[in-house]
Amino acid sequence: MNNNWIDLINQNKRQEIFYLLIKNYGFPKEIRTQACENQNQNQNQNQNQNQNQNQNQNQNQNQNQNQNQNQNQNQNQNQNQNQNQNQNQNQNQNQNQNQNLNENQNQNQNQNENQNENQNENQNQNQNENQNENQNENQNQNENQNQNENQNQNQNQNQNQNQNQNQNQNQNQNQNQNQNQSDEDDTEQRKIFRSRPQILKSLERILLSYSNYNINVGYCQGMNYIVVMLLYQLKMDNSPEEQAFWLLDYLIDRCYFVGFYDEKIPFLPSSINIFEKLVSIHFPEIHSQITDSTSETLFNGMCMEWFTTCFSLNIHPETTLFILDFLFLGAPNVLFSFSLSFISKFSEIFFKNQNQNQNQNSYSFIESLNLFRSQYRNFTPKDLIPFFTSFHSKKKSIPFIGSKEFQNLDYLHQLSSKFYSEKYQKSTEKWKKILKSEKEERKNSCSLF
Amino acid sequence: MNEEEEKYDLKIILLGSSKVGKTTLVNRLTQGTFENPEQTTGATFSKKKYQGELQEYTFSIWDTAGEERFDSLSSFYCRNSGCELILYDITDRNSFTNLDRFFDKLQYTNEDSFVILIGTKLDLIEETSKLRKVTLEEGKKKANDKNSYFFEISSKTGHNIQELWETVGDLFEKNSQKNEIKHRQDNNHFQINSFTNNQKKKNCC
Repeated sequence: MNNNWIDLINQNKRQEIFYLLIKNYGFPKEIRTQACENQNQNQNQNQNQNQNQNQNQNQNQNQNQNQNQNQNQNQNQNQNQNQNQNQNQNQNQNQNQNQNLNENQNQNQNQNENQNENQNENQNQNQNENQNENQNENQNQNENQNQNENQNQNQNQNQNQNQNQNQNQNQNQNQNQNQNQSDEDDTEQRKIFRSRPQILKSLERILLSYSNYNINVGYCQGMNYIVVMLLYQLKMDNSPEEQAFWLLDYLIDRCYFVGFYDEKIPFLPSSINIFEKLVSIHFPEIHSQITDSTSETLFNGMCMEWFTTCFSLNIHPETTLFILDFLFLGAPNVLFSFSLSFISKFSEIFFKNQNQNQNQNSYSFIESLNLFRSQYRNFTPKDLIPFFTSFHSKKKSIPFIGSKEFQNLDYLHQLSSKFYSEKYQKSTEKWKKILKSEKEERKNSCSLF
Repeated sequence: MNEEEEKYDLKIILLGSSKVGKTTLVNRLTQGTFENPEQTTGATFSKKKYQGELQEYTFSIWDTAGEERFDSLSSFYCRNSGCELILYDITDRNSFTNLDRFFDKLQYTNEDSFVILIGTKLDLIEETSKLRKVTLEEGKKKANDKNSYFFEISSKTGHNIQELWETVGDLFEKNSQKNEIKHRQDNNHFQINSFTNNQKKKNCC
């Protein structure tokens, strides 16, 4: 079993790992059957997509060939026209050439996912300026009307165009270098904004419309990071803003995130309490270190950041998407199991450091926890899933969000009014079944709470 | 385990509405840099050393989330704090009118703790004075009412940052020498006058 998912991770197949985990690691039956249905659908979709992609690629290749032919034709015409000395035609053809160049470059840029749209605009502007310059020069030619000079100038223009091309290529290289340099220091969110600056506008639109749509909740810190992750993952051709909006609504209303974002935040203290209990069960050595107010505050602050942003701040995007997958399928207890796997990663680092510096005592608990907070954005699912599976194989040790352990549960149900509307009645029945079966199974196994 | 807590001589807490510049002030104090940080959810922790007259102290600085709905949790952070920096944005009237909810939290702090009221983003006003929405006098008056000290700073240019840090250190040393509560109240008025005089001179220049 273990070898299986290590292979899958190396091949970057997130979906397949996800379904493998769902089926084998102690999730309720409801969720498992839904996962199977989704998997079958996805497989069909993927096959269709692959076919489409192949077709598209063929089309692109054809287009490229056509354009190359056009360019060649233009160049041939140019030569002829130089002989004919028709200045007006020269102008037009120069413009045509420039436009062709634009198209080619745009296509190349589309192929490179990392390049910015801003850069595109800048480059287009540059090219437009170049066009203008060329036009001006051509106008000058009209005034002069000297055949010899015209020939020279045409040659110059061609040289200029070549130079422009070279300059653009250099610009591309420089920009790529700059990106690489700044990427190392930046958080994931900044990288996303740099790669797609238009996300910022759609983020604003989504958050504004959500705060108007759900007045009881409004806007709360943490939503923004989740929406950025959703927008980043959704395909740009399929009205991503609308999809992201409804996914956010689903997450808040159906996955109990309303408890983290409501004005009274009824959910946050109780989930932090539950998590502390879980830590005391699974990591008694770590929990024994959390005694004074400083370490407690720091620890709680870290958990708060994880829960309110749904692991989308300062955490590797692959990991975030993994967690979001679980949440949308209806397994919100992964919030706890993933935080536990982060803690197990931390305990590894902490005790390794302590053994090394036993005499010096240079790493206190607080300092290493603070250090860990800056490190954990590098953790990919590869680092975390081994721990994750170990928690779920101890069946039912992770409580579901919205289960009995949570305080103020009635208040929470009031908040998510849609939860009880007709539209969602079926899903609530599903939920009740899940919770019932959970309780029964927990009675049979040794209950931790 | 109390050893851990005693390692830090003073617990400093930053309070204020969101977007007033709490995290940028921490970055300026600890790293000497000015950059646009991510928003703070939960609480972050950093430390800075202060060279006193006789010995070196280590202060811990706590940066909290400013949003109102996290207030119930941030009162938890105020426990055992010896110094509170309450921040407002000079260019944002709302951040000044909402100050009272932060002064209410002081009941959770140590009895001998001292409070410093800070107006941030002074550099914006140096460029265009129209942006100022809270006057210097209003700030001073508020600080006087609440028995606290007052500064107007800029984390971008570093204006008054060094002075702020030195007064925090001075006040800590005085507090640790004389733990009487009376002393703090007597000293307050004298201190405020001396600071405000300095302020006026600098603003004239």
